[in-house]
Amino acid sequence: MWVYILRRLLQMLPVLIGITLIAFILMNIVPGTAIMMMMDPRAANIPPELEARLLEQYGLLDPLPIRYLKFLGNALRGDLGFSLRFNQSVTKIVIERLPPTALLAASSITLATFMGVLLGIIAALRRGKLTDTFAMIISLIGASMPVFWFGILMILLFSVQLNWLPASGWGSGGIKFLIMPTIALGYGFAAIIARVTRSSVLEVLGMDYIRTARAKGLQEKVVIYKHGMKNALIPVITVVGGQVGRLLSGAVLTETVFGWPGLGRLLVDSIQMRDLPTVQGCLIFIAVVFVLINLITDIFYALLDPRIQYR
Amino acid sequence: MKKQQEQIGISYGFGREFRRFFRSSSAKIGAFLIISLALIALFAPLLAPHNPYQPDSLRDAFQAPSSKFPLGTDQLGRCLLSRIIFGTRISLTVGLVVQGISVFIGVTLGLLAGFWEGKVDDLINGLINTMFGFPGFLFALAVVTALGPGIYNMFIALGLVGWPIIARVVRGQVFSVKNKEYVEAARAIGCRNFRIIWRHILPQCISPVLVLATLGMATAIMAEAGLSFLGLGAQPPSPSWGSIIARGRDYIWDAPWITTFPGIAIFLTVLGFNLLGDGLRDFLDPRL
Amino acid sequence: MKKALGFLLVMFLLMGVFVTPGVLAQREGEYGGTLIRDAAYGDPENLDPIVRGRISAMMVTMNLFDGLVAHDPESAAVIPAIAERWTISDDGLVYTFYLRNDAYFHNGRNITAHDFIYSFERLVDPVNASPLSFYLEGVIGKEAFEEGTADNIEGLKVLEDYVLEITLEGPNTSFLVPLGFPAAGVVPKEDVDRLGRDFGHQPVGSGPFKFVSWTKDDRVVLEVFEDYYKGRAYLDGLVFRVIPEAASKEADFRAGNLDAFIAPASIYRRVRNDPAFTDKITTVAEFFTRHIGFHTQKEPFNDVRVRQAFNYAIDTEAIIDIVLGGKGIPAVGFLPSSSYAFNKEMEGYGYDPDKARELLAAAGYADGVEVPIMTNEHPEWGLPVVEGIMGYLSDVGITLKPEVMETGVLYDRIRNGNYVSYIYSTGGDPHPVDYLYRFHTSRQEDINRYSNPELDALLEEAKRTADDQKVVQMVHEIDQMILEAAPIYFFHYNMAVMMHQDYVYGIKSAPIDMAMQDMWDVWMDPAPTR
Repeated sequence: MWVYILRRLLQMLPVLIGITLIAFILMNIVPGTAIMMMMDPRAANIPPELEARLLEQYGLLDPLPIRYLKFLGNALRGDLGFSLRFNQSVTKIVIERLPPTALLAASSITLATFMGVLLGIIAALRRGKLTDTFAMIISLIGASMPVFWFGILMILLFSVQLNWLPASGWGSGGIKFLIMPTIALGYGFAAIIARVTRSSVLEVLGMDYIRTARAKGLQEKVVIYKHGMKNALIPVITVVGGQVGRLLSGAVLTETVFGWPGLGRLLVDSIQMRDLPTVQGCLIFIAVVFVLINLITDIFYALLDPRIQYR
Repeated sequence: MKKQQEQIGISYGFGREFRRFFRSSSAKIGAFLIISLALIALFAPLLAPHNPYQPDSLRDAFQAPSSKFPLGTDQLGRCLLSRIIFGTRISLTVGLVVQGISVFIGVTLGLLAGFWEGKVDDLINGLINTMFGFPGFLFALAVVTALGPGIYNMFIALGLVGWPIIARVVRGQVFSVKNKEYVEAARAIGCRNFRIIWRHILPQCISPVLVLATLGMATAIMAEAGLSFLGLGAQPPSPSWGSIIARGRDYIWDAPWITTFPGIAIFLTVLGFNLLGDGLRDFLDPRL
Repeated sequence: MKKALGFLLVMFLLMGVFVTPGVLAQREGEYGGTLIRDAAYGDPENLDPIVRGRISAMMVTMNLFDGLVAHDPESAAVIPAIAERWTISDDGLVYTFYLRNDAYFHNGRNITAHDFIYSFERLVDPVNASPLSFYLEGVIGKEAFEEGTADNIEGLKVLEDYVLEITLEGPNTSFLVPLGFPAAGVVPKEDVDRLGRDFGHQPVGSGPFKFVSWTKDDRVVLEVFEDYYKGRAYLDGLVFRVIPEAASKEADFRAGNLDAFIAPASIYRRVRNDPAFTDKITTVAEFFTRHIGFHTQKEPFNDVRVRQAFNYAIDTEAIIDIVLGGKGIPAVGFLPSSSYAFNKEMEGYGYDPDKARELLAAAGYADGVEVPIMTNEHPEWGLPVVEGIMGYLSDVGITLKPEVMETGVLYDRIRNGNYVSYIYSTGGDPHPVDYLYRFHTSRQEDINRYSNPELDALLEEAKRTADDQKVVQMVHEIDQMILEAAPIYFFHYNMAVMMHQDYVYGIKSAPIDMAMQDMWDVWMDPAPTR
């Protein structure tokens, strides 16, 4: 078992290095003055000699491969670079923004998984009937609805029209700030989970060992819950893990719409302000998290499904 | 049944297949939506009541939906309906071009990897795995940041996101077909590689690639909307639905229709492609 | 009799004792409450005042830090702060500042002239790489210090504990102005040493408010500094909330969760005529001139007639009304109308399309001309404006071709001269001579390659002149010369709008930037319970 984990970690290594390389290349082929970001754009007038000196001081004049190697070395020690915009280490900046995003992600995944699985099971049990169709329509809408638009619609209804919920920020951390972003982010997620749950449950219910259990005369409920559900939920877990990427992408848009002070917003702001070290650091951080989550999902899956062998 | 599926491109009982395809209601709805959108895109100049790029008069700004402006006007007095109609062109172009790029790169690399194996395969497979290590939209975001905003850079960015999954599937198909008897037979009688690829391997790939490309169009259009919303995609005054919504956000109190209607357009388009893709998948290759 | 006189004398004296403090310390406001403002330009990013020159940080740091002098909130003239008074030698080279002895840091220590030497050297020290080190330009020894050939700045001397002397290389009429900005504020060495880079995230100053906490991208929380030398501020606390969306700001304002915010044109257009909002709006003509810059060395703008034609062609008031919702003051010349040196008699270009066509024809463009224009997407001086004026210009034969790009790229291309025309906003200098100095040949790259030796000479002379009256006269002349040369399209001075609840008092029309409010004398009556 541990060998399996170790092997997978090793397999991840080139992927992670590839990610840093891609991120670095992307961020450093861009023109634009990093130094200018420190001044008010409306009246910026940094004397050119000062600008040249600042560029040199921040190591921005070294050749590209050297900068990459320096960067990689630092990254392995946890130092993701230095942001001129914040005058702070990128790692610190990213970590500061982690709690809001983690909160949003956790609540979205929880809500979405719960609602999605519930919906999927109901649809499967009432297969072919109106409830099923209805549930699947809701799910289809969720999968096709742009997350930022959905968020704006909710703001229109609940903040502008009804004034029930605050339109942005996470304020005092009270739950009313969390409601809309969670639903916006979670809806698409829940939709996919619902569909996968439904087909998985249907597949399992049609399987031999279920028929056997039924033939043995066990109660329907026991049949379903004890034997069916557990196995049905295994592919769902894979899907949850696989969809995390989409969730992270959705978080970027959701945080922008709701002014949520997390990583997604940091990424977008940094792109717009051309704070490339921060963009780089964010991307790498998110990708690493993503790869780790995939790894954990795989391990989970391997643990749960008795059919998998650790080759 | 399988044989029938395998010979899809080589016309066998095509009419019967068509009818079976359309028994699926989701495919029907999907096809209907997409064809409607395609027609709207094609005949946009005839259908749009006003000029989508220039307002007739700045004083028309913020009009609520009326008979003169069926969906209202935006902050500069431009007709929202006209802009949405022309936005259809952008969305469909994005879908087609991006998937075109993805399919081209994906099929080429998948074939190379599967056919030549060895180091080439290792390299390409490694690249595929690395690409899967990045959430797609974020990768596109990074590429657009690097290249600068604009619709052509967006094509590149989104095209680069879509190819890995196609390459992986094609590669898999190549492996599975390569060792079949008829391929060995073809080799034995001296067929050149190219012919083998063309006559035996590629046809196997058409179904899964078609499904992936259709579903991929939905993703591409959704991603384009997101990128334009963030200001990184199509640039104003281009009437991309995402950027109309973005620029309308400031006016949510005065003119909520600016942010509402383009979203419906995005929704219907993505829905259409999703349904069509699902229908194709159920029909062609339920294994996917 | 003597006893009676003596008694009256004592009464008078006693009255004096009781009445004078009341007269002197006449503060009318109510104490208490925590005021919530918006962080107008986004998260401050870093609160160490020397690290950045962005208003998003300065609007906070100006309340955390104090310097030798400050800016009068409404006229932007230099007024005393920690320096009670100062003298300038006749040749304009030596400034002697007399500091108060009752100014303290937030950590409790008394502020002396030595602290100012430390703070100024920190600003200029190349190790700190401050983009604002030019604030001390012209002080003897500044360059030597920057290059590392000197251990300190020769021109900065402590004469006594509370007397500071600064010597310049040459007279500079606007030398005092940057000393009123937070970057020239005084900082406590012991806290800077202790915190290092973190000083920017846990700032310690001497201003009316001190730092409590900062949740990035969310809010900055300050509380009142009881021992402030002017007396404690009215407010108990001050919060700056980061709200990226204008619509959300409005939502929070209506819900009573925001007490004051800078309103963009999209909101102003709707509330400007609404009587319910009359006492909730304060406006000012900020020191920012929005303009279209012409590359004066390229065709067609190398001909002054074309430049003037452009100015006549546009109905500026209509554009401001429609595109900006009325949120702009039509520009006369380049110097904004809120400056004390503004010439109220000056006449600008009006809307005269016939004259425009005449001038264009005289310049040889009777058949029209195509003009590429660079722009960003800013709602008040970007693409929406360009789209709005296209009609007016095509009317007289000028076809605009917009090129949209990000502000950073736009600025770069302006500096490189890689453009024909561009739309931009610039300004921010509180001193009128500095404001107009942009048109000096040495600053060509900043604006539009305009060069006029006569103008240069006048600007240089004004910069050297100590007599304020004379300077105002010269500024009038300079402004008129720039107007006639029309190196730009004079668009508008930004009208900044602060919307505040009707229980908020003390918001001033601050022309440097409306967001730069001195919160010391702002109060709420009644303070909201939240």
